[in-house]
Amino acid sequence: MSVPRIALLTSLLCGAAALAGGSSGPSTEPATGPQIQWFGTWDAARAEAARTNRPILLTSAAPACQGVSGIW
Amino acid sequence: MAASRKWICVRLATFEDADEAAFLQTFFGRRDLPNTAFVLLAPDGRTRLTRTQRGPLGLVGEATDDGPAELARYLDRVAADYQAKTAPAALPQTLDFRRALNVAACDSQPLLVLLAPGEAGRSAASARIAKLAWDARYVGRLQYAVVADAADLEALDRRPAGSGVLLVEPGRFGLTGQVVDEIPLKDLARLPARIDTFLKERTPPDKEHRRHVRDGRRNGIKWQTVVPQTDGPAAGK
Repeated sequence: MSVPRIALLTSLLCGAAALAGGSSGPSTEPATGPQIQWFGTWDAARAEAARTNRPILLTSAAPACQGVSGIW
Repeated sequence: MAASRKWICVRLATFEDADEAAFLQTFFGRRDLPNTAFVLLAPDGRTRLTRTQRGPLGLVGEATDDGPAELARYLDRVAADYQAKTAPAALPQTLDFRRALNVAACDSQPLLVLLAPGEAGRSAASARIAKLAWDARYVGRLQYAVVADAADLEALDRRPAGSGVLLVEPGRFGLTGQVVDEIPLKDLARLPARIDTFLKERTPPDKEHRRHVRDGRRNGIKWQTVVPQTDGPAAGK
């Protein structure tokens, strides 16, 4: 996986800079400001998308790396 | 961030719920469920706007340093095809407390836990917290979990006094949590001020991926997935 791919995926999963137009490195940076407000369940997201007529950005990731939790 | 506000953004935790894993699998056919997945869908939740892929870069091209900005522009263009009726209002909670604590640690964000055994009280308090969650001051700054039984909160450093809202600082590996504040349900009006103070005073952990994994392995941290992993080192891939 290339560094840009890691950077963007990490940013997206962490909700950091990916959708703000900024860029970030592959490290997980301290969450000092607002990030993406994620729904954590499909049922709630689907219902809210239908109610608000907003499209859905669906992503999934394992909340662990090499069996170690606390990191995407 | 502005681009994301035009979408309903949902992030599932791969391998952490059998039903969700089965749902995700529908996007991949006979292929093994990968560690990460990304797809854009219409508001009906069925119509795919993109092919399913492991990450968002396929939408905007991988050989660019401007990927995040391009992705934001792409999302803006697609969202423009839909006339939003109203703003999101449901509580963006995680499936359960165990996962929420870990996700909060992954995001280096605090976790707000609603503990309310009674259905009526839980529903009313959830609605009040949901309003806060989508308030411009707090949107994207906290994780949320709703719990009916205090026994589910054993990972916390102290037992809650009763029904209420707990402000929790997740441990580094998302397996423990420190109760920073506890607000009884009858005092929910005080919650915004408490969150304000907490967010203002809080210093998020500085987390570096390789060091985190190395330290976790040295400390014997082992996250057990709910469903078997079919991707990544744990799956031999």
